[in-house]
Amino acid sequence: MSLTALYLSFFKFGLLCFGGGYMLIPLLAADFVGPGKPLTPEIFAKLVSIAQVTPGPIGINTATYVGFTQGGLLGATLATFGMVTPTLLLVILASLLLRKYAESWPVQGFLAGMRPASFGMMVAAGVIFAELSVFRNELPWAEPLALLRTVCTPHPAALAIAAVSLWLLIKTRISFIWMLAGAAVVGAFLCR
Amino acid sequence: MTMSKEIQSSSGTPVPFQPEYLALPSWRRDAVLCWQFAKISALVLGGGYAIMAAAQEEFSRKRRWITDDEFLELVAITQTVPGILAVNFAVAIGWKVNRWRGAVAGLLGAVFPPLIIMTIVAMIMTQMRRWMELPAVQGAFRGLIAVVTAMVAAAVIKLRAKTVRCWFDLIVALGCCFGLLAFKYNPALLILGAVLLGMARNRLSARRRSGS
Repeated sequence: MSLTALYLSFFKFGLLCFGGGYMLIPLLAADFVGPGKPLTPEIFAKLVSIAQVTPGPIGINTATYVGFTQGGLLGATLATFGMVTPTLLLVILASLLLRKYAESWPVQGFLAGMRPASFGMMVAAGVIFAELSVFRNELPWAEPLALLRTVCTPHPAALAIAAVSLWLLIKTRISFIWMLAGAAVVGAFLCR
Repeated sequence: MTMSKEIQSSSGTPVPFQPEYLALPSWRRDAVLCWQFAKISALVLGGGYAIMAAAQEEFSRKRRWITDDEFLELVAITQTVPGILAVNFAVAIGWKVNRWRGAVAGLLGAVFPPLIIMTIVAMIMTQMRRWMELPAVQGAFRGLIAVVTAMVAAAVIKLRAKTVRCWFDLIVALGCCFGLLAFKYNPALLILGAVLLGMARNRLSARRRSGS
């Protein structure tokens, strides 16, 4: 992938990424992961988990890492700056226009569509992550029987980790860092 | 402690809030923005909202650069614009405090630490390729992603009530989710469709309300 294409891809992601860092995942996966594309699901999974445990916003970390795999240090820099350039321009634009147009129907309508859309994308991100951990392969949406089989044969240890983590996240205030550390250790033994 | 735009002077008459960055020279504001967001970006864990809380602590309470109302305005901007919340916020407050230079200072401050740290980590990971093939390491990765799955699930559960409040929201959300997963539609098109539908719906209900 050429460096220009890399920058433009991430510029595009920067324009579309509503709703925070996790939203980048389905956008990235659609363009970069899969047959005929630069990254395999396995590499993508490792990449995302490393980006998650490294300090910094997960969106920037992921962009930097993917950029690095595609073009070294220069690729990492271009991907990151590509991702944030739209922000620079749009935030300034919004700062200038928000007071005047905040209640106008185009802006309100835009938000009315954008909010559920980014929610749906976030759910999609969750499913993608599940495919890379809890389930043993990508969910085959086109074949109902195969789909049923995949959903009913999850990886037991990974499912347990996910379930326990979810419960801890909702019911307690334990920092997710501990969960990541614990999961790495448990996974090393049980998720081979 | 809430700070409104006016504070009481000792004689009881309201005095307008004087943001303290006005006393600082331009380069000084840029330096503070850059350094503070570098610290926040590198150290704060917990995502965009934690970062905004840290920024409020720093710029609203400690430094008295913005009022709480102005902070909420910045939050509104941050949530309307696409991109990474931390960077959005850094640019928003940078612009407010020092226009273009402040915006760029905030952006560079938020972006450089993760860029540098992550590149170093990526370089190390490339060297450790054979190490990554070990079954134990593969297993650890699977465990990590399982936690990330749970984190997304927790966020979805928390946000559902606020984001999906009617049949329209549900259709748009499901449409985007399955459109992406099952039909592999281009996310840009899905977003465009959702936004157009939102605008159409708002326009129609506005018309209906005004009786035209």
